[in-house]
Amino acid sequence: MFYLNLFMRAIREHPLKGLSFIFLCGLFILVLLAQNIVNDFLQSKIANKNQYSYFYVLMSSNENHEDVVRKLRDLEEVKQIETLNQEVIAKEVKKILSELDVNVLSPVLDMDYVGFKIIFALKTSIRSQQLVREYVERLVDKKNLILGDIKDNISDRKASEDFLFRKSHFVYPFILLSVISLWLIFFISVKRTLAKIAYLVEQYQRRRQVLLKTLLIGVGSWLVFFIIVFSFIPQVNHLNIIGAALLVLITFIGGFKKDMWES
Amino acid sequence: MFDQSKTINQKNAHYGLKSGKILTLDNVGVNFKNFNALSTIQMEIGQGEILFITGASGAGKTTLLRVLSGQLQPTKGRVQLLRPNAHMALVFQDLRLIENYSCEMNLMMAYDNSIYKNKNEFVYEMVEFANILKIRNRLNLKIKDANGGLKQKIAILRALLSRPDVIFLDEPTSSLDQENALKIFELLNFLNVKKGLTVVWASHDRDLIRSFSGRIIHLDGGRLIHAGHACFI
Repeated sequence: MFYLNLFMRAIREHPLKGLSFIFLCGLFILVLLAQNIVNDFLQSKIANKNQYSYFYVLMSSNENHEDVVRKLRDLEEVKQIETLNQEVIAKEVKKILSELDVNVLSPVLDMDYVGFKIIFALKTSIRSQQLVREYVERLVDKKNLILGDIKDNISDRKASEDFLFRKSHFVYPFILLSVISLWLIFFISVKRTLAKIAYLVEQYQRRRQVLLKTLLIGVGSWLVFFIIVFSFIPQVNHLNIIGAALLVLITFIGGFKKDMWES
Repeated sequence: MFDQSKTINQKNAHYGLKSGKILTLDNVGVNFKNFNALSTIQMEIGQGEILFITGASGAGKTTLLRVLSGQLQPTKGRVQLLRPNAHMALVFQDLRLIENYSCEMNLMMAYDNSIYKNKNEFVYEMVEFANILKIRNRLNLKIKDANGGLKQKIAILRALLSRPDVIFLDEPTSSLDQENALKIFELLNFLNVKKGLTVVWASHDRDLIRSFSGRIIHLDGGRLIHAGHACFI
């Protein structure tokens, strides 16, 4: 408790710096534990934007659209269904109507629509995509339905796929390196403050190795606290934990000169 | 039969007040690159002794204090601490106070629960000492707002509150007038008599030292050139 108090005293001496350091401890642990989640997220983002074929569906809100969506979700070929907001729908209707050379003042615009973006799974054949589109036509009354064309990014994919995927593999290390660098900067700063206090404690109290003990207990407690807080994260990368533990240990031991006041 | 008085006398002969040695320096020398800060210092410090180290600026007083207190390893010779468990406190010339803390918080740095029964005992002693030095009503002041004299008193009190066996003071009264310097000395003298505190006081102010009582050594160019009693300077 003494060493934890001492650590918190150093935090209180420079509250902004101290609280930033604690926040970075949390971020550090979060980024470490969530490597797989971050990678999946990044790749799905890239994939959503650049790889998967899709088409838009607009149907009257009088139709049982929830049932349609449920049936579509059951299909293997459909990866994801996104509900569109009103602005997107208006834009899409306008686009479709202009493609069909229909007057914008057509009564079709007065209808109350719900809209969806149907995204196909990877490697879904063009024939299967067509079948899904026809399936939607069968599920919904034709006069209450507007279907967009299937947008196929296969041609674009060749140009950008490899590049973006390769790039996505560098995003996580970049985030991790940035967080570690920031954490180290704040850690050194907090350690500097703490070293002075620890030095005085060693001078005027009968205690030894105060700095190391305070760092182990003070910083260690916060790191363990955040590990517990983020323990719900699945698919934890244990190699990261070992690497981080080594890094933290090195930064703890790699000390300053004994007499911080003279340096 | 167990002779209690004899046992106490034997104990005093080794650890007792003003008897026995606590530190010995055997041909100690310190070099900083090409500069010879101390050369062939041969001296002893007795348990419960008051020792003054005088000399002009650059004579080697601070270096000698740092060697005596174990802060600096000598380049040659040997420093022997005859009571390895002795607690030594230093009052540094640069004081080493935490500017953002109040005077009281700085004094609390000396609170060690292994030597005080509880915090109240510490606070009682702190207030008692503060009263002697007449700084009781200024303990809430932040160090950055305190004057030089107050800072020096706080630095000395912090060292004393750690209940040391030996206290080393490096120019402890440089910001104090004669009257306040005398108060500091009286407090140290009181603790010396009452608790056997060993005092090693370095100062260039020979006039001030002359008004105190204790043994004196005089340094010049890193050499010990005179040893005697303070009143005979």
